[in-house]
Amino acid sequence: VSVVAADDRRLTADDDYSAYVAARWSTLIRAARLLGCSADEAEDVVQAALVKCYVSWSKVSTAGDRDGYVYKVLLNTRRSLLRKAGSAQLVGKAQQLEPSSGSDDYDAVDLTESVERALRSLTPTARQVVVLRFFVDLSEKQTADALGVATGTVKSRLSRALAQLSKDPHLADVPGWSTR
Amino acid sequence: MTHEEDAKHLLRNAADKYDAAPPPVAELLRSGKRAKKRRNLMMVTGTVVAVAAVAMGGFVLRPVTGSGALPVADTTQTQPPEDGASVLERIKGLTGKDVGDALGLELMATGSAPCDAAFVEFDDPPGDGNGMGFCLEGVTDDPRVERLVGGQIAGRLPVDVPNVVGLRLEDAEAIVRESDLHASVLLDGRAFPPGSGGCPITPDAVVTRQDPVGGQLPSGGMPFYMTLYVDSGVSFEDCPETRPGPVVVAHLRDSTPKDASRLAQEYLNFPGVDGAGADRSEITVTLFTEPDVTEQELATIMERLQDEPGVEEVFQVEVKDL
Repeated sequence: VSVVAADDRRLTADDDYSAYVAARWSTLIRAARLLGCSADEAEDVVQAALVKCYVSWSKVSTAGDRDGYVYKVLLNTRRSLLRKAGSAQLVGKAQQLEPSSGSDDYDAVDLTESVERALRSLTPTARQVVVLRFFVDLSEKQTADALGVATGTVKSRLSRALAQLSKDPHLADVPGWSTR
Repeated sequence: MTHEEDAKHLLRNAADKYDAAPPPVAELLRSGKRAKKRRNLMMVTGTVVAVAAVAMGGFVLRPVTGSGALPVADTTQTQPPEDGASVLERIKGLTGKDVGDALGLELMATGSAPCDAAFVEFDDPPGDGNGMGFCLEGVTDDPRVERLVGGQIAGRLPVDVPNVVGLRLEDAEAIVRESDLHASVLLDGRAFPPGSGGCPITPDAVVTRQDPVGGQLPSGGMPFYMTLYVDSGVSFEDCPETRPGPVVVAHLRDSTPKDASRLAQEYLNFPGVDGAGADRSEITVTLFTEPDVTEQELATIMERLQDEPGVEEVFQVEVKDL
């Protein structure tokens, strides 16, 4: 009976994990891209992070803030991989723009490229805050937890990052982006 | 729309153009299960090694707390304890014997370790309490490792015990540098204050020292600790110092630990940071001040720090009473 119960628990945990991965995969990949990863790197980083999360899934799944936990692992994983591979090499690769294939996607490519260039001008920590807060849509508290900083730090970094982005020449002609 | 909403639209529109392949759920499950088996195996191995080591005559286990979140009974301490046992004794509700019993080991309180000894504690990802397994995986076969203890106090304490003991400092540094793990090297056998051991020091930092500092603040007040956290994203809420009080944090960009060390020397008369030859990166220098430092004194420090070359951001955090 206990074996069956254990199997059931495992099944439930695996199902839960699978459902989470299916639901968040796309956002995780895109967040990694916005953080500066190339397409291949984004997949590697997200996969490595999710494997780590699987190992501690009981902890992740019972965490009050599951997304915050996962993004924390993602950022740590990326940091480790960058260090392992040599920052310069990976950063160099990450700078290459790889827009999706599309028929007449020039505007979209321009926008993506402009945003990438603008994000690149931010400090790594500012970039992380911007991506987690504005793309992943984590709350300030979640962002602070994921980055391991105080909420006030998130606010101040966001404020400075927004001020910098508002003056960024790459975004000057982007429709809907107001420079103030 | 507010500027923040503009930013959200901007990022989402830009990210929409990134292709995302379907999630490889089955592959992730397979890899995750393999990783979990490996970790469990390492944990079992660690326990066996620890028990065997004790059975072979025993060696000194010098416990060092590994979690920044542990409650501590005494929040007024101003000096690190002389030995690890006293660290544990100061953890609320637990004694060194409790921990020793939980580990199945005889805990021996000793004086300071030889000066050339170092502990290495691995934790990856930081703070999750799983560091021991990774440590064993990474360094068990390393010929520089003289003795090794691994174990987690299951169900009792979310802490790691020292994973590697008896290393010479340079060997400990080398292992950390060569590994891809978050780790801290504890110097000279000196135990860290409770609540500081779990800080995610990265291999870039190689060595972090949390020594009592005898210098003076510009105002004449006495500083407490200087700590280097290199690219670690330390949260002070997760990793409080032992005492409540204001803390000044300077964030440096494109700097080396040596740059940070210079700041610390200037501001805290800190003796310098050994082994801090890492590449340039973002560094956070934390200046723990006396709890009763005045706002004016803090303001003076922050103003001066802000003018230092390489300093990008200076801010103040309050370490809450535990």
